[in-house]
Amino acid sequence: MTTMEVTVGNRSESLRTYVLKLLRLRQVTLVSGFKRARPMIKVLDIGLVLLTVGVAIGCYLLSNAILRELNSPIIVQSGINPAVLMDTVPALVLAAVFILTMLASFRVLLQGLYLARDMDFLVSAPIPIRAVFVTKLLEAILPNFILVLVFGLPMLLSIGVARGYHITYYPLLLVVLAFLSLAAAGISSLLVMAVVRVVPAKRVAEVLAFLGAFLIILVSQSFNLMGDKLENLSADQVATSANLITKLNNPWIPLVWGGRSLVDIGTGNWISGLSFLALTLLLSGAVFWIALGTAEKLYYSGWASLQVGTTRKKNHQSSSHGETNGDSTNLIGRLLPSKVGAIVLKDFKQIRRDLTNLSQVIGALIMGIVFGVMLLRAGGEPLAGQGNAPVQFMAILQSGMVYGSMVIGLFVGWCLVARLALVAFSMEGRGYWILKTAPVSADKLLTAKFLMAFIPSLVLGWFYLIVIATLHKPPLSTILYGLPSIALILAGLCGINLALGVRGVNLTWTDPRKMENGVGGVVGMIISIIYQLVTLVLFFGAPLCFPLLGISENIGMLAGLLAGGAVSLVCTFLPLKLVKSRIATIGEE
Amino acid sequence: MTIKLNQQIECTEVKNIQAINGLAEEPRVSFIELHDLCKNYGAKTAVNHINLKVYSGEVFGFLGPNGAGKTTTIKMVVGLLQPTAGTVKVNGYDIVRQPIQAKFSSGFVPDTPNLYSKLSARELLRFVGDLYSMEPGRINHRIEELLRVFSLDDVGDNLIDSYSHGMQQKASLAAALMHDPKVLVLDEPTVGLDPKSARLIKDILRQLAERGSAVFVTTHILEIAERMCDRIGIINNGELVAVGTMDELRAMQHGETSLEDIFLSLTGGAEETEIAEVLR
Repeated sequence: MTTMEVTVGNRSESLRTYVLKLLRLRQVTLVSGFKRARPMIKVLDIGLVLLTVGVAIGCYLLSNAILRELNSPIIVQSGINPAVLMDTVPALVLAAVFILTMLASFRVLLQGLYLARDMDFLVSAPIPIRAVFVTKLLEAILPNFILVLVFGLPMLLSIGVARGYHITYYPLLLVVLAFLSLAAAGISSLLVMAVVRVVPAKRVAEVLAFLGAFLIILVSQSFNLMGDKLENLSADQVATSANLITKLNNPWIPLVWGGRSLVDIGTGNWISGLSFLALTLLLSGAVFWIALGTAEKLYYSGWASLQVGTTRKKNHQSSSHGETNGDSTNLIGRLLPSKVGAIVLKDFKQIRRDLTNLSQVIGALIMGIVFGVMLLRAGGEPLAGQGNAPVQFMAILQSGMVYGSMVIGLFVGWCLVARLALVAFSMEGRGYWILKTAPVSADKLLTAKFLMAFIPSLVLGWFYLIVIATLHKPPLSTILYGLPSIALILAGLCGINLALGVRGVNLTWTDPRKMENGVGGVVGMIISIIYQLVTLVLFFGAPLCFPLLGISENIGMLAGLLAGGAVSLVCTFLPLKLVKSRIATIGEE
Repeated sequence: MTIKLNQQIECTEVKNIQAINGLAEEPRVSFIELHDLCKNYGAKTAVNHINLKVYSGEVFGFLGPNGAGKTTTIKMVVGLLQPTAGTVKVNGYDIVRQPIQAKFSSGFVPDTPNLYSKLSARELLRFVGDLYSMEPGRINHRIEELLRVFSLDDVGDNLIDSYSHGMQQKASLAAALMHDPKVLVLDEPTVGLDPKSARLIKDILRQLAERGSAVFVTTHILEIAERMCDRIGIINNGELVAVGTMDELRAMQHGETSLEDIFLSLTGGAEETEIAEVLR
């Protein structure tokens, strides 16, 4: 009998070696993905990298400009010491970096630890579990670290240059940034595990996507609303703001220690600087290692995988007769033919219940509100400028403002159409087989998808028109003219976008935000803008110009309705007719 | 000659064939007819001139190695793929030229239950019922019946994304049975199911056949095929290499006793030397 001896390799590879091996796996995946990508995607990727470099340079120049502004008369008048304010900035920027990295890492770690589904494979492989976790944390930090380098680093560098900090400021800046990011990711990993113990990971991802989109749009549009106020700040207001900022740089707040240490070292306060630096590095390192160890234990013990209190509520219950009580969408379903109504209802439910979908729609609502407020703030009067414009031009502009509410309603409706119609088929995803094997004709399918996109867009467009018109008080005839105009223009938009969605259908997505391929979206946007410009001229050109020629505005409206309506109807039906034959082969690629 | 099955449906009469399970010989109708069916993906031929009939009242097992063309064939039968050449008739209707009529007769269970994750099982079944133009009263009755049969009544209002694979598979089968189809096509229906659920599905398929439906099923588990199927077809490299009852297949293979032996001899099993080479 032969004895088979198995020699177990006694290799003592360090943690670093394993981490590098795992990071190399990520690198191979990225490089392979780039190599296999379509040429257009490659160009976009390269463009993105160049854009990032450009943004970094832009941030540096902008920071320099802002720092120069600190010596402006308003700052001097307000009694602020620019040097003190500048020395406060690194502390605040690094504190912001810590908080933002913690929040941003949350999403990446949620994906890496729970949604990527590679943890079982990695943990069961002959790799120290610590190496797996360190790699996951590093993968969470790296993208955010790049963003920090792009946006935060130029500002910190320009402050160093402007204040003439000691040379050690610059390398230590990177060290502190790295330590703070590691600590932030460590805390984030614990937060992820705690949250997923209560709420399913997939649901958490949906909520994050929704909140992320909501916040981004809200913040970006807030600047539109606040624009005037920011430009007209008084010296007192500036001084109050500056005082508030400097007060945040309190030595009792650990988050600002990193920044304080750098500034102190930069300005030659070595003892204070090195003390704060030691505190920052020790505390960050300790937080990172404790969080890492705890996360490992929680994951390995099964604590992090075991959900508590997640017995799903029957909140989507149907009655025994199957009708969802009090659901307004059900009415739509009942009014439509059975198959069409069923598809429309199904789509409404899916969109409503998936927060990732809702996050794509929320932008339209917020932008509508922002533009509505801006229109109302203008009081219905066009900007006079320098007063050199011809009288007739100003008269047209004055009349055009009356139709402003209509354009906002249309814009909001378009935002929704662009989202719903373009992905009307793609949203079926891998479940498209259910529709394809069912006895549903291409006509019914197109009708259902058209209505699914058109009905909410029309309701939203009309809602904005009526609300803004109520506050803006244009003539009743204008509102009555606006209702069919918006309906017809949106119908055309739906037809165009739905047809483009059929041509570029994608059923293999895993993330709802990637349903629509970028190229289709861009083409859809370009065609939609051209179509809207043409129809807006046709619908509103005659009502605006006829009075200048001595013809009644009502006749102008009738002419606009005929001309614009004809083009809209053509754009509603013709694109769908052209792609109808494509329906039969969707999903066969 | 044609046989009138009901007010709307007419099917081509087919030759009398040997009775199944001891039933007396009687004229039977083919619910699935594949005639010279081909499917090419570019230069690759996935399905090559397949001729096949599946009759009412029988469970037909469709076997073959990975990549042999089983799923492609099934997809053409249910209208998910258009054939490159040849025809598929379901309940007498051409799936390409009369897709709506053909699809009214069939139900499909794919190998992976990709369902609408944000609907509940109850909502999914209602949706399917509406797609098949069922009466509202019948939809409600059928939903309760199917949820009970598949032990999904307690979770019928939960979203499908909270279901296990097995529960999703059962929901998928319930959806296929919603309109009581004459033709049921299943691709690997027992994958990922616990023994109890797998047994339930086998029993349901048997009962459907006894009630006159045609069941077309693929599986890699040869024991299931041997025990459950009335006739078996074996496909290899896109070509149908054998069709018949177990007895007929045995006769073809000169007395090979088990379906596994027959299958391996027709499709080429793994050579012992290759195995030894890998394990060396």
